[in-house]
Amino acid sequence: MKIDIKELSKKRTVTREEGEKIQKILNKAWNKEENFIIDFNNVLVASVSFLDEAFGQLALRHTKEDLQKKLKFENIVDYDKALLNDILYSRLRQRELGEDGASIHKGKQRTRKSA
Amino acid sequence: MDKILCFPKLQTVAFSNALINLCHSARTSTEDTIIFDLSKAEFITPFGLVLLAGTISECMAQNKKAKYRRPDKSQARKFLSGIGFNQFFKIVANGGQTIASPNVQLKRLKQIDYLLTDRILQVFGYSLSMTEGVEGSLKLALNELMTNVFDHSESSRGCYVCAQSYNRSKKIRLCIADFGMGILAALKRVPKYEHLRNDYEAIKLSVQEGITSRIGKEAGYGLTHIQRFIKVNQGKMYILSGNGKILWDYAGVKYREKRQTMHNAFQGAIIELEINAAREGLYFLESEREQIF
Repeated sequence: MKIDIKELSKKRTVTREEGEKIQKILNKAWNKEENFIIDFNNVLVASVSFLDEAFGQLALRHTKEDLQKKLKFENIVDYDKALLNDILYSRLRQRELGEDGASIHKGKQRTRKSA
Repeated sequence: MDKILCFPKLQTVAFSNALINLCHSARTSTEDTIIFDLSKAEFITPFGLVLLAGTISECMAQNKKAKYRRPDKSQARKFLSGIGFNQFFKIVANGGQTIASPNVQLKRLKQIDYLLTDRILQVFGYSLSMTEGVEGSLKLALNELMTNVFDHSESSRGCYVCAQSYNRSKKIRLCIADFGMGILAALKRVPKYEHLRNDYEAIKLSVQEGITSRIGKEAGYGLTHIQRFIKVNQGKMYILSGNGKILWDYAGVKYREKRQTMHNAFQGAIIELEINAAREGLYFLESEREQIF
């Protein structure tokens, strides 16, 4: 499935609400599609809110390997690529720790030591 | 009757207490006409400008007449007329001419302006050489600051944005001000931040990762990213809200965090960034970990 960010967002790539539209498309078709080709058309997005809502939130539910398998980014400028990687690492770390600092990995239940 | 408010020579964030006191006087005055006397003004930064613009706008919303005395110094006069100050507020000014100044952009926003960031980058690109990282991070900062205003401040009058480039020092100043509820009140709406006691605590917390006034949402990364950018760029970030002001100063050899108490509370929030155009701006992936994409 191909997702054209420019065509879909019409330059509205700033807010979480705008990112959520992309996330909804991905969520809906996640199990049906083999992969998603996301084309940025070399437009600089530079929005943590948009990129986090569109793709970062996926890292709270899927593994790094799953994300790499499913998502293919095309024509993404270096700045956005670095930002996206940063956001994904941050969300993957959050997933690993769980909201209150406890790991949510199966069979690896551990809690943060109290200070 | 007229209320005359004499503004100081330097209208910068360093003089925020004096400026906020004057703006407070303008807003709370019961006189029909407020005269903003800028005759002594010599240097006005985006901070001074957004504060002045927002206060004039608020006085006008209260059906007060707003007038200003233009600066005696031609440099300051050029600065004000260059941004279309007179037309912007339709206020009475004694003289003054409009000189286009591409290095300054002042705008009042009632919603997110999707073209503003690109326009600022394009205009500054003519006079300054910016690294790719600074270009991206400047756009990111403006995007996130605009989003914050419209998501959290509940400002009925939107916000004021001003950006200025300084060719000689190769610096950019970006300032955004909203006249909404302020950071402390916005965070206190969320039950887990009800414990916050003062504006300092709220400001300090607001730059931490994952802190947001959105209830039930995973958000709160904007200010964290901006702070990381400013750190790598060796710039400065000021956040002023209520009675508190915090400066994160990465410009010197040693990092400084400075607090200041405002005598009169500022109803809303002002954020000013001082950015080095030619320095590093790409702050991601400081570790050597492999990229996911």
